Amino acid sequence: MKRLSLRAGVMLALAAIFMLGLTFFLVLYVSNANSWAMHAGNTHIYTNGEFTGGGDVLDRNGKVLATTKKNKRVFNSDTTIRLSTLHAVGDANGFISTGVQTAFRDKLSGYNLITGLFSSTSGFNDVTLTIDSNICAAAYQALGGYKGTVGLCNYKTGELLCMVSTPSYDVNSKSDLKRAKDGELEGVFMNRFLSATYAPGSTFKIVTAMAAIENFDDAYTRTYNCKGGGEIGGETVKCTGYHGDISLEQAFAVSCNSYFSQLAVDLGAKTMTEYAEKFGFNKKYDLDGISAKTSSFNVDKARKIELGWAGIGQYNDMQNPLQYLTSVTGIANGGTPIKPYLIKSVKNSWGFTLKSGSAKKGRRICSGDTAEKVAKLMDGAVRITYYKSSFPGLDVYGKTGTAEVDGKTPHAEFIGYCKDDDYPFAFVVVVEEGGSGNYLAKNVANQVLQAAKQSYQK
Amino acid sequence: MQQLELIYFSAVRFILPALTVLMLIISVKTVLHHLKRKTLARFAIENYENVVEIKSAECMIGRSILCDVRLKNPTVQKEHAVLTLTDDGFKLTPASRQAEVFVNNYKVDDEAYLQSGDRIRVGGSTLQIAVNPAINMKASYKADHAQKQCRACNAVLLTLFQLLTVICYILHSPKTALTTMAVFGAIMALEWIYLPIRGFKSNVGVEIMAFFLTTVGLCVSASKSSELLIKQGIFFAAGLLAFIFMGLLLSHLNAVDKLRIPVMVLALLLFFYNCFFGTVVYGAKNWVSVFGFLFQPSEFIKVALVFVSASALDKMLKMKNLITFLGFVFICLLCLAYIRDFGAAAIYFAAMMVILCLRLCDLKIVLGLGGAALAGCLFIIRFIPYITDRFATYLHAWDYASSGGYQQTQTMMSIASGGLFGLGPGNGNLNRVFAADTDLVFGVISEEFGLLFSLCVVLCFVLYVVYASVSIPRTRSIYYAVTASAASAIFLFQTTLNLFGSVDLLPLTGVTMPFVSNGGSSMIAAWMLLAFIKLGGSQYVVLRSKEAS
Repeated sequence: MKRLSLRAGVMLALAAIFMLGLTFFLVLYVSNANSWAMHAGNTHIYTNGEFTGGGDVLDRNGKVLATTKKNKRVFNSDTTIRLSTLHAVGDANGFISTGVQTAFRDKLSGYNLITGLFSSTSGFNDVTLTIDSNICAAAYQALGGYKGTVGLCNYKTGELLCMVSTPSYDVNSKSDLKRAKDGELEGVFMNRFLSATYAPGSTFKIVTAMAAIENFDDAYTRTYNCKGGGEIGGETVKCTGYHGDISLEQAFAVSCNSYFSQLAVDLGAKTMTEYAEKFGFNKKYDLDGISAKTSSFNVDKARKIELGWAGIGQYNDMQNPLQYLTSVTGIANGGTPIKPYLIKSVKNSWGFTLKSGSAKKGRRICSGDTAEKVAKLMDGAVRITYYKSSFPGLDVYGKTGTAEVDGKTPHAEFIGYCKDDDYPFAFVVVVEEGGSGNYLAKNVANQVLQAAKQSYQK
Repeated sequence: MQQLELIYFSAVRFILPALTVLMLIISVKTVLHHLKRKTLARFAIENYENVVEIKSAECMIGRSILCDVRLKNPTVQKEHAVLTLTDDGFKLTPASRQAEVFVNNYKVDDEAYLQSGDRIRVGGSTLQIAVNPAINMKASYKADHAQKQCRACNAVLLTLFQLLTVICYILHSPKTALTTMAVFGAIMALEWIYLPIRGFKSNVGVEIMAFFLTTVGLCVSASKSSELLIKQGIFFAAGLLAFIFMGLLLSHLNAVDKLRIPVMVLALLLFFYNCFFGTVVYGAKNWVSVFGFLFQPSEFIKVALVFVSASALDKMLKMKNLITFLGFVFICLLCLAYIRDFGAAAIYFAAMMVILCLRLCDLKIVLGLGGAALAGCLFIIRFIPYITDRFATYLHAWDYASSGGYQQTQTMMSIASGGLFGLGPGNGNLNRVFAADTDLVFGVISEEFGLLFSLCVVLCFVLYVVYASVSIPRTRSIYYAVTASAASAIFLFQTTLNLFGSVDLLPLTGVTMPFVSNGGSSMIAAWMLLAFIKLGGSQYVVLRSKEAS
């Protein structure tokens, strides 16, 4: 029996091996269960590959943007609202990976590691977004068939009121979906606000100006000469006008390329990179955890003339609209940005609030003093070049950009905010191939701001 | 009503795992109690120079370090004599022909029964035996009061579990409420007839755990259809009968020994019949039809394999005994290969390895066989198309989520959907997937009862293994030790292949989980195997009061 008792160790070893296997499985479970449960083959929340296991998606005013009825996902009855909120809400097939219905399907379905999908029997969760479907619809219409994106948030609370990306397609129309799948609508499944980057063009002059203000004591008095262009090491950076000897405030207001390219060269690659990164270039941004494409600024290998171009938002500079919007809130808030957020609240079927979004401060982009100075420059730009009257009833501070793209009409861009405690809106507008920023982008911005104002007046 | 139902389900999903965890903890406590051992007899060696306490019913006397009674005398053989406690008292047998044993100066040729005070001469050493007068020769397991309470408590918890579950199924599908109530009512009645008759003083913990596992199996059936539930209920009753019969048979070791060869012959005949007249179901010809009933012979031959695996220690050490056993297993494995039931072959082989190990075979032989089997497996995986296909998606189930890996990925999705506490009995979707009620049961119960619960279910099988191995030192005969270990190892092995196969950590082989998976042959065979585990836990009782005196 003594020998047998020793051999009985084999049995305990078997049990131990089994327990090891079980532990291994549990580790797998803890790390992967979310993706297992959210797989499109899960019949608790998917019907024939279509996501149906979620509660309502509502806009900030309680308007239902998407819901499930009889195992079918049903979207808002208004076509413009469907088109304008497509990228925020997402589709039922998961083509738009950054849409709420895909990126937050675990929140919509009420899944978590502990209770699983018990909500499939007790009722799914409702998700209320910060966006206002009316502002989105206005933005969609303002873009008027152009490709591009509009983002607008409350820079005090961080609530993202409008996030529109075009082109869009109607989720209720099979022919629309077919066109989208056939690639007729370029980048239709991409939310440009999050996943695109654009050459910033003149909007980048904000960064160059910031660097000058903080580094040159004579920032406001030094002048550069503009003869329809600025000379840098024998080569020329073209300008849209013939500005002669010009100083910072003037140059910013009329968006003089000659001034800012020469200024960038004088600041040097190191300082320019430092300030671009402070502003948010080369840094990761996300919207409630959905990561955005990173803005980039890289002049490590740039020649002098290229550094000049980089100083006015050309060369290889790329901005992401979410990053831009966040940084604009920084200028509006005296240097410290507020991170925009999309999820206002998540409520379960019993009506308990499981999660509610709130304002979170971002990394400071500049000192309060500098922010005030830059704001003044943006104020001047609107006064002198874009006119305050372009934005009736609103005191807009901003900067346009006209980003040159090889062989195409340039992209029109406009970023800025309203200096108004009642209407604390920060915005980013990009109209692809929209020509001068001072025309289309400005008009789009105005229409969206007016819609936002109207919505806030109610 | 809808709201009320929801509230009930929301509460029950936490209560059911809680009950199960409690049952498991109590079971673990009673199993650990088995580690305490009492003295059966004392040996005084060389005029009280040294006293050895005998705590196991079979022990070896000799010079080897592994002997229970070790005599450091060169005139003693390495393994000299075997002492066995039988219903008639202590029996002494020489371990080999060369070993001379004398009792009170009379030479022992075959065997001799000992009494207190007998002087034994082994080689040049003398021993005197003092038998503990408190040994109860009735040779059945009797527990103390605390143990009895534990078992009764578990039985009540089990009944509570069953009642709560039945209400779930009634709420979920009111149309089949009558059937559900009838079947669950019947099994609860059977339990409460059986348990009091056996008495909570005996080791009914083994059965209570099996009742629990069977209940889980019935839940799997109930979730699928009420016809299946009725069938499974009948198989449960049949299984319980088979268990009682096996228990009676196994308690007569002489009869077992006589039946050893006939059982082997019968088993092989059944296997041959299967090979030639079997019915092919889903790629394996492992079914036989008798009077219109389909059953799987390999399940019952598995029981036979355990039945013939050992003998009492004195007989078992003979080479002939081992060779007949190995020959039998070898033919069985050939038959299984022929009918392409490789899952069962793996189980048989694993059982054989455990048996050889516990039969005190040379470890070199055991390891050699293991190596050969590994090579064989690799050959099979490489060259048999049906098996190679199974391996094609193995470990890549997610890449084939809608084809070859469908069952596995659906299982994982369901486990994740169930979370820790499940969606409630009857609320699962996995049971619609092919073979979910047999191969994917872990997923089915995880989805409906939660991962916490299904972990408790598989831990029951671990507990059987632990129970079998802690019973070994006290068991009445090495036969029970070997067979109980083999049976529990088979349980755990099947669970391993079933569970890890369904989540793509092992290839999906279609092996059932004992008691839980649907199927008559599997259910009855599981109950028959349980009889071995039950007997493994039985022992000579040392009464407390007398021992003290």
